[in-house]
Amino acid sequence: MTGRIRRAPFAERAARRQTGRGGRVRFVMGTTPAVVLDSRRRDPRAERARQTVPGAAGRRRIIWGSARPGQATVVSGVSAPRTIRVEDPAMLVLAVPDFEEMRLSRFDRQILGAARLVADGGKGAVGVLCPADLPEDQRVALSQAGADRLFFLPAGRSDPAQQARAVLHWFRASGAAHILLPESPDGADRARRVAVAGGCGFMGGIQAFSLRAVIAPCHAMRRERVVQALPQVMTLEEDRVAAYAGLPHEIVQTDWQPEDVAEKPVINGRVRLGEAIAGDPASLPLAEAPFVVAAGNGVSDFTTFAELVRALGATPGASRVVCDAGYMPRQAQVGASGTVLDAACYLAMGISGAPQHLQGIGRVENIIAVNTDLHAAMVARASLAIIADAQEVMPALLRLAQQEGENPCV
Amino acid sequence: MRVAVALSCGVDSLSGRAAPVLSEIHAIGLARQLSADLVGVHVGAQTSLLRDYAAYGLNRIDVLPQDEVGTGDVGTILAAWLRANADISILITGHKASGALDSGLVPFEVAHALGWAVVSDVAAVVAVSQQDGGSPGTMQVLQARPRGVRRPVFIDGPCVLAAHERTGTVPTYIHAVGRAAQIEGVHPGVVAEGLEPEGPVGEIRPWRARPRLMNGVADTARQGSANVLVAPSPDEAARAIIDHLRQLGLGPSGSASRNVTQ
Repeated sequence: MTGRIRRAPFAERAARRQTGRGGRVRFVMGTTPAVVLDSRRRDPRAERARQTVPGAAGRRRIIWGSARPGQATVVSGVSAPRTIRVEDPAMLVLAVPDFEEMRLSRFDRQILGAARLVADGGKGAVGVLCPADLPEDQRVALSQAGADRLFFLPAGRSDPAQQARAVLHWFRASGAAHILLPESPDGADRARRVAVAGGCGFMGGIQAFSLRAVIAPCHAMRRERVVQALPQVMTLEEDRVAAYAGLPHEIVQTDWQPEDVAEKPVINGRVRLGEAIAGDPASLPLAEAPFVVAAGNGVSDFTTFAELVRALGATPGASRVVCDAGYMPRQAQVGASGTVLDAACYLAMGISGAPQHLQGIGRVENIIAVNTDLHAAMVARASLAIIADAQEVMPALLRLAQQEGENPCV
Repeated sequence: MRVAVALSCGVDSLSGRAAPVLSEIHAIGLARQLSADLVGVHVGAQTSLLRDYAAYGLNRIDVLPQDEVGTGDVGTILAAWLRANADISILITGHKASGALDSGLVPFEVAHALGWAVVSDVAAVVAVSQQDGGSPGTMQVLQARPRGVRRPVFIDGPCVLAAHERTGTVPTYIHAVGRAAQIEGVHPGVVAEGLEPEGPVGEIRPWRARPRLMNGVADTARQGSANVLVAPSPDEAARAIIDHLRQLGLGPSGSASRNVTQ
């Protein structure tokens, strides 16, 4: 027995048979009958045609698994839920994103994703603590990221203790079960202030997050601590939890009142944060520099290179060959035996990209490569690659950079 | 003005042997910027590791006994010791311990118990103005932020400063200073009421690497070789590079790194 499905010619013929006028028997040969009852042979095209219905916006949809062929009907797109509305949550989970530059970053979305995970596990809602002066367009981003409720913190960010007090106020007033923060510099500071001031259970720098257990390293990253019951205050490391990707949630207005400043004795903030200043690129350590220009074997004129680095406002780096030859100090070496960069942009002049060198720029987002070899590893990794001699590009780039530096357009 | 530096018994993450914590060496560097009158304080047993810390420039280290193991206690004991030594108005700690629960809560607990201000991730001290009586008036420190960004912080009155994990000055190691340092056991009298328990400690087991989401790196890898200029003239190449940098908010017209803190 092969499992082959065979045609049943007699049954097909019987299905086509129709009794016409005057008792004459007709066979309708043109269209395939809708059902061939005991047919064991599939006709995939016909099945597909029967399951296809016109959908919303003129797109055809295929309705799989419809019980009987020809029964697929048009499902109107309106009846499908566009947003999820959590009316009466059984519990509340708070998330405190950083809102760096007043927008929801990727890390912030991950924190909301983790909060969503906990809330969905207990049929709860996610509350987001956001600054009072949050732009309106960020509310859409918040609802897409899975926020159900919004709580507003006082606008000024210059006093971390006051911010932490406001967070703790909302935590207590809303009766939330957990509060999640990012383990970013600001988030870590805020979480610890809240945990200590409120006497809450705390776990920082969580690397594995699930509803069953949270895991964070301890003992100098040689051991890990596994806690089954989720602590009240938690901070998560970046890229450990996926952001929420489901249907957007509807943000429901709450009637909780913000902390009344007048009622409580205001402890005058003794800490005041100033405006952040960018570091001097020339003296920054390579590991911290935001923009690095590095020289490789394709560069021979290091005077022009140094001028170029200064004109571009970058931090100088170098490959191993250049450091070995003594053209650049050893501190400038990028790569496995040198420094691992955390820069936003890396301009590689005459560097082909040995694997050890590429290790050092693994975290860099934007790489510009100037190299004579089209097939170099650095060119493959670059977002802008220029196949030219670095030695010839450098003077032109220096000239242009100096011009732009004098009269910056745009 | 006396400045106290909190020291802990660290563990080398590679070998597992006792080793000084880097951020606490940075803390000693910060304390030396503030004052010449330094005292180290350690909660726990007396170890030879304290001599290593002292070699970075501490003449005296007080060792406070710890009856029960737990991080919650360290903050309480330190606060009690600071109450007993009223002439100390600045405590400098590391970023977090390495060798215990490593939660980084101790500076915040001490500050909360004493009602002091607390600043984390301090990279350098800019200025201190002393009031009469030796207590600090207004102090300006720099807080380290990613990618070389520094944020000035102004503090009034007594405070706890937590040094940054990686950025900071490492003072010279002088072995003779470490040998000559006075390391004494001190009983801090009455220890105030303990803080609430920190919640379940949980199960401790060997660390293993946990998965990370890959989008960040994968995105950049896919982005590669999107734009290749083959054999352009030097001027064309320079224009392309400058334009690309401009898109990233970098380049010759100044404001480098302001836009790329995240």
